[in-house]
Amino acid sequence: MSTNFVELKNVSREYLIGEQEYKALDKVNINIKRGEFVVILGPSGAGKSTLLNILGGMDSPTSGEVRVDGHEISNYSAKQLTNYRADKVGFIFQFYNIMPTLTVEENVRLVEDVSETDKDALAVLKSVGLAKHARKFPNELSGGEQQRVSIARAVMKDPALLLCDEPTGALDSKTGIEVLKLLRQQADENTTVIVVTHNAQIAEIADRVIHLKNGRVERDIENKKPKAIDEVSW
Amino acid sequence: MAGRNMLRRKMLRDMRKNFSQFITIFLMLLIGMMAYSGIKAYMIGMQKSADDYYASNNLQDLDAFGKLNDDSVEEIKQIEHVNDAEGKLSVVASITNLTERDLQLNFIKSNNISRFYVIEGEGFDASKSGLWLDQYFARENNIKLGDELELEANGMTLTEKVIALVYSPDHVAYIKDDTEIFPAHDKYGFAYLSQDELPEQMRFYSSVMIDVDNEDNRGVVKTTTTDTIDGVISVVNTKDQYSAASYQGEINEGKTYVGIFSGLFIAIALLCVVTTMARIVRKDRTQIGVMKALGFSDKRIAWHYISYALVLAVLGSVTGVALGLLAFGRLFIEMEAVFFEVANLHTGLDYSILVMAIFTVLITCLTCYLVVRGYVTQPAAEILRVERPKVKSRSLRFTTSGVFKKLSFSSRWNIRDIIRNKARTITGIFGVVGCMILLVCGFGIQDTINGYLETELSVINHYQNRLNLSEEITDSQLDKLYEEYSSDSSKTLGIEFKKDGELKVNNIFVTDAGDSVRVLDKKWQAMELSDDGVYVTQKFAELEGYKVGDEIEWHIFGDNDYYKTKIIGLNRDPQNQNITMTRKMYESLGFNYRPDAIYTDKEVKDIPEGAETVQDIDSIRDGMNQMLDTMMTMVVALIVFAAILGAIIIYNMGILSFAEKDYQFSTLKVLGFSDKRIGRIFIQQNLWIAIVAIIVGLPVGYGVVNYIFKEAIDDAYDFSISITLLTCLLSTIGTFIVSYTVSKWLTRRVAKIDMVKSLKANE
Repeated sequence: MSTNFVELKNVSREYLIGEQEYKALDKVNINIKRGEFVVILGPSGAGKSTLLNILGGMDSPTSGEVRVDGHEISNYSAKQLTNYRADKVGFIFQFYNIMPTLTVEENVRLVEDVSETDKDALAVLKSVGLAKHARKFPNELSGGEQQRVSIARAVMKDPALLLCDEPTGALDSKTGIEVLKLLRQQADENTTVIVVTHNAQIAEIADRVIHLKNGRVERDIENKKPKAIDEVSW
Repeated sequence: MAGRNMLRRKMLRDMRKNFSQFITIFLMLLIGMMAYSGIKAYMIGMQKSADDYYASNNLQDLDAFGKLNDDSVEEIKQIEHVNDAEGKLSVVASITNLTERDLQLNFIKSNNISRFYVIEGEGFDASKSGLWLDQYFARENNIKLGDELELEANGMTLTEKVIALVYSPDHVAYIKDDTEIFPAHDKYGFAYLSQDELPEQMRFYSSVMIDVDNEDNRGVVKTTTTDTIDGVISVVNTKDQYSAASYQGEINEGKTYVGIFSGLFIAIALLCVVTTMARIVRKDRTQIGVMKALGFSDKRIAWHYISYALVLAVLGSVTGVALGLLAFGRLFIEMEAVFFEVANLHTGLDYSILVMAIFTVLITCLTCYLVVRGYVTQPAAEILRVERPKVKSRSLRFTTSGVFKKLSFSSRWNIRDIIRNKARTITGIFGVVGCMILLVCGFGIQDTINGYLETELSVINHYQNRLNLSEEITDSQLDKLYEEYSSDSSKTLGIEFKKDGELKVNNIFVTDAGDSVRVLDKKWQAMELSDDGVYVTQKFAELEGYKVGDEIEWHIFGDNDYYKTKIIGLNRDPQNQNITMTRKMYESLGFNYRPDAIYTDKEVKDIPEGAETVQDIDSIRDGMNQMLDTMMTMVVALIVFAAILGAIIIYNMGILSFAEKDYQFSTLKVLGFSDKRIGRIFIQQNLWIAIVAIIVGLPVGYGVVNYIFKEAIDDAYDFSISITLLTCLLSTIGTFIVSYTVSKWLTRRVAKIDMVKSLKANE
């Protein structure tokens, strides 16, 4: 827990919107340790999703340095980024993004096609409470169940970095808490979990809370005593 | 009004955004209407050009054949309903100062019937010497006004100056003999001369052209002429003769193509309307909800989407009709003008093109309405709710067990994608089947024509030279020819046969040609002929309703005695649907057999005495090969259309598929799938579609070729449909290449997928 697993040095990301230049991230410096459960908070347009996309190898910074597990991914080629996503990163989206034409089990096994994993899909599904739904198609599941499929798919890879973009945004409080428990469990198993959210309540369970505003880090607080998940609600 | 403008603006922007899909619909409608209006314009134009030409240059109604003179002409003129009559002596002459060039010389006294259309030079004047020469023959042989031709016919030698280049309405198409299918203008032409050029003893006529006052009176004039004029052997309706009949046959063939080609493209356009509009409306779901919430009526919203189809259909149809009339139709007319000599040959127009254009617009709009109806009639609240991906789990369930379980992820994914997007898949299959059909047609037509050449040159005809004998050949000349060349001979008799009280013209091939000219059975194999009756070709039997065992009643032109002969078998011939009998059978009817052709393998240097012309099998082969070259234009056109159709459809379906699966591909990218890998998944589906299309397209393509050669082609022909393994292979490979190349090209889009944007768009 002592070395930084994720390091961002002076990271900026600029976009051209029409003829207007827009800075989504402005010289951001962040350090995250392996196995930390990090929540990134901020209003819309603060740069949360951009930060997540850069960490996930889906986007690259305009300037600055991004290191993950000692490797500078900000210099990676498209091919290296593909391999990085396949091997290191798990993604969880607000709207799940699971394949509608693959069954639950097939969605989870999908990662076997791109990364080496010795995990058993059914066991993973069991761990997220979906073993009995393995042969169902996504449209036969509730929103919470679909998000758990998404988590199972990410977990199946055994990723070093689990990136979650508003993972509870489309869920009710009770289902959301179930999902958060699963994410916490991943962090406890030494996966670095980064959750981007609007929901300040979730910050109470995090090891670290980073507040972004206008593309800058406003506050970076280490939470010495995170709350137990069952203690939060919204 | 402002609202309408906004919707119009939305429509234009949507069209720009979905350019590939809309351009496909536009192109398919354009090609469909271009094919329809082009073929129609050429058919109507051919008909109208000929009708005008025949009327203004007074094409005769009937031709009376026999040995006739001025008295016969005057007698014919006296027959009731006859407006006018003119005699003509036609002989075939060889041009001695040009190699292997022959002319049909027509000696006339006046030129009021079948008047020349003068291209260059002066009109007919009986007091002038010289040649009124066939313009096409002159052009092909670079003959100019003032050039002299040395002519030799029936022992007569003439040296004539070309004084005019002309067309003649009864020489719209002409062939030297029945070994040719298409005119060879470079080798054989016609010319007119004044009768004064002939020596006195030859001033008689081989035919008299008769102009009848009314079409309905042709029958009665024909009978009266046959019955009352001495020397008349037969009277034939001019429009049933090769020139007018082959021209008319060409117009009729268009009727088959017009349906097949325009139908294929318009059907594909409609399928594209279904898939594209369904996607646009689905994508606009929220906007439809908002419009409804704003108070737009269902009708207004539906009309908004129908206007997309309306704009495309109107643009596609109008452009298609314009291109059809101005380009495609003219191209066809120019192709026909290579063979047919018609003054002012032009494209034509009639209301059917407008009706078809309106029908196309209406059917496109109706199809669009049927697609959007389901979406716009839903309650606003329902539409505004986020739509979950429509996956009918039940229909996909069978793909989760059994053999499917063992399939790779990409195979399962593609199978389910196909099941989910049936309309898109069917459109894709339909389009690629169309591509396959056109390829099979293109190569199949070539195979069939090659097969026909093979049948003619290797199976039926086994000789090097054919001596066409003079009618005046003496017994001693004939015996000498038998001795010197061969005793394999034949005779062709012009006959009329009675069928259901009607007299119909045909011919009997009397053969004593042995192996030199073989008669083929139903399977196109050489057959032995019996002397106990006659054989008729299978197509003749089908067309006239005869079967083996029936009797056929006929008489030879110029002989009023009728004979009843039993049909003892059916044979097949690619280009003569007639009756065949052996020499013995012919003699058993009481006739004296005198051949009009002798077949030999020996070299014939000069035309021997008793023969009029000599035909080398190689010149026949050359003529047929020339015909093949012309067919190649059509084959290439079909292949080009196939490639365009295949490429457009696969591209369109690919774009549609990408648009629908954008976020799925993005997710795969996020998960770490490489672009190449995703591209492979995409190509796999298109290759499956190609495989299904090939399996369906091969037999359908065969069916279309069969239809073209059985139904569309003139009744005189009976082609054995032949599609070689090479054709199947080439069509399959061609379809695969088109499918793979376009798919591969489309996969470049995978690299351009913006993961972030796609995933957000899905939300």
